[in-house]
Amino acid sequence: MQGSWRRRWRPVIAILSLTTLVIIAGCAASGDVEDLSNATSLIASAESRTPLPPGSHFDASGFVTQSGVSYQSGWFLSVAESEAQCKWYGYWLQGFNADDTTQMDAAQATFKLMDSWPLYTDDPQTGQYFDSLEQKAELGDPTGLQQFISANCGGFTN
Amino acid sequence: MASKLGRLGTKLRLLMIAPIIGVVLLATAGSAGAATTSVAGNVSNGGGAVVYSTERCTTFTGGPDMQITSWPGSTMYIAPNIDDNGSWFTENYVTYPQNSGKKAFGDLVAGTCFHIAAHRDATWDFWDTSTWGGNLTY
Repeated sequence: MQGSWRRRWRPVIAILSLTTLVIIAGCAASGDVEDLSNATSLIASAESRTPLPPGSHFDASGFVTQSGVSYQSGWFLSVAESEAQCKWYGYWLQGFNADDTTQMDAAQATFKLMDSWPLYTDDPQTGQYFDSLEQKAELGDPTGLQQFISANCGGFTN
Repeated sequence: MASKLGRLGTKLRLLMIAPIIGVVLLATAGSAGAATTSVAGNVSNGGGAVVYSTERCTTFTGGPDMQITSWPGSTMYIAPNIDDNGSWFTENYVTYPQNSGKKAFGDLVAGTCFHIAAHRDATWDFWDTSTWGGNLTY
């Protein structure tokens, strides 16, 4: 009697086990991505960790995610840092054009802080590239920052 | 006189070589500073795209170049985020394994920073590896 019960339920148990394994495999594969159901607080956290120039604010459009797309962990912070980088470069150029050394000094102090951001440290070559633009600016040549803004910043300069 | 003619010959040879040297210098300057590094990311089971979070900035115009060395068993697409309409895979993508050689994926001006994203075709392909790896020249 007991053996017959087991035989009857064996396919059901097999299907349930398989389903569980599939779910576990799926969860394991998605463990390294941003939890988009929690996007609002992830964005708030990224923004609070990333200083902007005086009078500037984050543009929400940079954080918009596409449906059906996952984003590896650190995505929102990367977006916040990219936007802030554009705005600090814009802030320095604004100071340069107005001959406002206080504003340029404030931006340059932030350039040093930015060196520790994941945007700079995740890939050494990228960090070195940013450093080279900033060093050029500190020597009085704005062309590197101007080119960067033209190639990368769209509307994110204020 | 002979010595003068000799000097003139040397000058002429230099004048002939100069354009060749110039072309070589221009060709190498275009790729100066380009680095090739290995990158690896994940691809979600079930078909959705996954965006790789580390930003890169290309040092030459016309690239970046990508050679994929490992991909999930199913067809995979990889693209930089340069599509005008804001979507990742409508243009400027490379498909693997169909295009498994080194390819320029996208056409960026030097100094352009980009993220990359990957996605796969197999919606129900739960059992394949969900990672990809490759060499990125930028």
